[in-house]
Amino acid sequence: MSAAGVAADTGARLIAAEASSLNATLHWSQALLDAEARRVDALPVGPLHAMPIAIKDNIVTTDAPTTCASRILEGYVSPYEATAVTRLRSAGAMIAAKTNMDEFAMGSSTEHSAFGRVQHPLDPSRVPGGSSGGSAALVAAGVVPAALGSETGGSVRQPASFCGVVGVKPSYGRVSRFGLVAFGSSLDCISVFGRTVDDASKVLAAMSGHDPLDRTTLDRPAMTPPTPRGDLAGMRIGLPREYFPADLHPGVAAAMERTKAAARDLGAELVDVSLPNSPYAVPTYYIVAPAEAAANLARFDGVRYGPRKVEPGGDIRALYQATRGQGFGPEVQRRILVGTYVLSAGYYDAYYGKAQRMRARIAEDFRRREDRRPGRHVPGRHLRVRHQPGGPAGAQPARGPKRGLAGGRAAHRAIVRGRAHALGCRGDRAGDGPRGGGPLMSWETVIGLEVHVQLRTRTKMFCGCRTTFGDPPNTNVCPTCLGLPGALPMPNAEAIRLATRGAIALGCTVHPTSVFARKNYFYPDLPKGYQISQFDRPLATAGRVAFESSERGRIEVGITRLHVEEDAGKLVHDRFPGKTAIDLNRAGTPLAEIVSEPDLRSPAEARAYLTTLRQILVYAGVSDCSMEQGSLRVDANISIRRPGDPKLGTKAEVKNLNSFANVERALEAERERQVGRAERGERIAQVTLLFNAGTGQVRELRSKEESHDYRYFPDPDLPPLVLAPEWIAEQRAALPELPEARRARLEIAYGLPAYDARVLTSEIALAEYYESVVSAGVEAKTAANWVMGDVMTTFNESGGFPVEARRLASLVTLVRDGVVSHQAAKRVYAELAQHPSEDPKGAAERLGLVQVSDQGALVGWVEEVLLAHPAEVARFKGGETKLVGFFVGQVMKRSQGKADPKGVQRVLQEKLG
Amino acid sequence: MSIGRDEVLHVARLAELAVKDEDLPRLVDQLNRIVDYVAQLDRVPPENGGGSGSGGGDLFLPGPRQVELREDRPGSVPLDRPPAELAPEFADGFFLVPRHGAMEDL
Repeated sequence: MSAAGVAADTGARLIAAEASSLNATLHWSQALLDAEARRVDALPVGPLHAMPIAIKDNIVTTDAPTTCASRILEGYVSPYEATAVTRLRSAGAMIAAKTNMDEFAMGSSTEHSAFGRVQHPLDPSRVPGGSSGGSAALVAAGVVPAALGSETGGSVRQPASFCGVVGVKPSYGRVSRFGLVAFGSSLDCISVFGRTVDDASKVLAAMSGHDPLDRTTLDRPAMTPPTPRGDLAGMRIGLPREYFPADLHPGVAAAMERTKAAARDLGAELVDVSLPNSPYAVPTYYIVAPAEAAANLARFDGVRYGPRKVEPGGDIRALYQATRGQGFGPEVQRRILVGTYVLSAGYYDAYYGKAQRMRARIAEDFRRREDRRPGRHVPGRHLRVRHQPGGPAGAQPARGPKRGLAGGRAAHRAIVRGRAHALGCRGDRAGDGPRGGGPLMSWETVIGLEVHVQLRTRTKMFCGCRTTFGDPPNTNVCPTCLGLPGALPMPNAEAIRLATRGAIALGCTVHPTSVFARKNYFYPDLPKGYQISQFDRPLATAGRVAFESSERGRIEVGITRLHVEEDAGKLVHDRFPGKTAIDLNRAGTPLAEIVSEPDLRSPAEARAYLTTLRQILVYAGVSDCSMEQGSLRVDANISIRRPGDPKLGTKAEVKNLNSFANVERALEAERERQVGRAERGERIAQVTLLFNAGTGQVRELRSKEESHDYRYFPDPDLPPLVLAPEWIAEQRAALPELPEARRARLEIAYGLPAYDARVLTSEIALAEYYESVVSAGVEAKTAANWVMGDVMTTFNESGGFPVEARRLASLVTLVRDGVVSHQAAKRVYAELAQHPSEDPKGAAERLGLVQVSDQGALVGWVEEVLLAHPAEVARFKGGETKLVGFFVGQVMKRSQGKADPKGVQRVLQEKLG
Repeated sequence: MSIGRDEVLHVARLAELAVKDEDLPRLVDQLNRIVDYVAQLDRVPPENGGGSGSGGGDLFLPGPRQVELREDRPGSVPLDRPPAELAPEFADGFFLVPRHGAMEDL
């Protein structure tokens, strides 16, 4: 049959299904089916040629809405398509419909859809299972031969069982999740329903395989559909004894016995196995899945897409709460609350940490069993409408996906009391610090700094969008950095390389394994409702920064940690009255956060630390550290205590300081505020402050969130970051000479004073330029004087070197050889800066600055000067010999700087005796 | 461990969910049932050795044992439709939300 014919037939069956109140579809149209047929007809015949496939409504498609059966995504049409769908289309499949489901896949009966429950196709009094009940029902009703569902805890295998169709959940990572709206990221698997094993396996094979857009896919090729065979010879099937409890429903037990007998008859070997931690799988699921869901569903905030609920006059929090409160159904809200609770401050270890450890144990049970490679059987039975089995507040998940293992449920069509049963297989300058006699003297200041630097990459941390500064708003955005439903992060190798270089340059220990973590909070500049950062397992720890403190001499400040994370977007408050505007071009830009130990003892030390830190990072090529463009930002923590007291005082945090000078000023202001309170016997509260550079005062900031309860947990979208020790060693070897080493070398190799070496190495470009001038033959100290003078002035003005080192060396040689005076050379330098190709001698000649050594000319200028100043001549002859300088100056003036000063002195001595 | 009304309200604020007063008793009850249920993990005897999951310790993730990094090359998944067509409120290239005093501080 032609694709057009298939489309027509499928449409007719969909109409019939609607007429029977199945309520299995949420979106379909004959027009879309016909368009699919035309597309397929233009393709070479593929493995799924003209096969109509229904798609669960949590898998994004561009030609129909993707609502996840929720009000919060009602009418949302994705601007990109899921990898699985794209692969199916490429294989010739036609997307027939989007199917009803439990809202956000939370449920096991498909009764929790915002658009009504799905009926079982054979018995309206029963549920089709869930959460993928719509897909299962469509296949069971014969509307489509295959459909996609998604599994988190049995959401395909269970409805497959309930509806008597084939349901296959592949191993986690075999099918890309890019475009699957996440429920529990470490559990979700796109899975397949089919009328037959053959149909299901073909569909699974077509969409399987590694996907660069999903970093949790396994690096394996696509699956190959198995060759159909009529027996199970050579297959060992494990029967976990924990799955067959004494109180197993007798009908299910009897059906299982028949199935086991059938499997034996077909040649399978059935073996008894034990999975001792199985009883803990469901409680583990009840912690892990809601925790991940609470974070995954934070992106639905009514800011960037989807319907928005807003009360008149309401602020951003009112918008969030109304949109989410009205947009999510009760089951989803309950799971979000549970997930938020188990991750909240004080409960992480009691719940999430414990569940993760149990998950590892359950996986180990399976690994041991897999050594013997049996398949596994899971018995299951049907539920009536609103009948939920023994979970605490809903239906139990199936027993497989906590381990990320494959499972399948082949319907064996055993009918028990008219129902199908299934077999499941599966961071002192003068006057600073103590001031004579004042109250500051009796308080010690303790400061620690958190510095964010933007890593010098071309693209963002987790997507390929450019990091260009100053582009039109929201033009460098994509599904990932917009936090669109189903989009996933893809970490940038260069960001990791630069952060590693920075860590090594700061003397940190770089850890071979570190972990990305989600930092959860709501803010309109944070698209996903969480920031991907690192928490308890950062990239690097335990570094140091050494520098000269004006109060304490050379000191070392400890670096607690350096980790990588993504930046937030930018908020604009002054453009639209009563509104805040959001530009997400910056969202996702790679940052390194560098946290110091509280080792700084004055605002001046804080400034010196920052100057040194910046030098190191620029030398290492990690960041341009431009504060003007926001690529280096500082948050400062400050407290006071009595000298000698080992206990730290209550700290205040001063945020978002945009210059090193302002860091120092802000800390001075806050120190005085704290000392004033302490001296008056007032309590010092933990506060977050903002510095007003205009007034020089700090003021209290309203809290970013009611409490800083960020509910960190490992990001399930990102496997651990593993760096080979050899690679880390390569990064260490590739580091350039750092500022401290270069200063020491310049002092020793060129005999420079410490001051000169410090100035010359303040910028790597300046140091490079200086050494190039010396290499071109200029005496070291002469070169230093030039570079620290005119060259540095132009460098500070323009950021570059308009007179290259070779030309400066030529100019200095002209001075040395007496061709131009030093004064004239400065004028020539300014000209050279304006005329990049001009030769220094040529410029001097053009300007008439070549020194005149001709004896006749010099004599003429000297005689004119002496005639013009008889009084001075008389005083000179009276013994005021120092007036020779006056006469030289006058001659130089008269000669317009061209006279050779040495020659002038010689002639003066002759004339004045 | 028992969850009270204030705790549920605190969690709801963290999750930015408006909870109606009439729903609160039911939520308190449901959350307590769930917490009681998962408390059975407290009774699990400790086991020597870590799990087999990637990273070990508190970290268990299925799938690859280490993350694959992407080259720093511009090119992202294109949008079929621009942000303006997705957003509830959009002007002059910006997403718009009601102003919140605290936001001006950052």
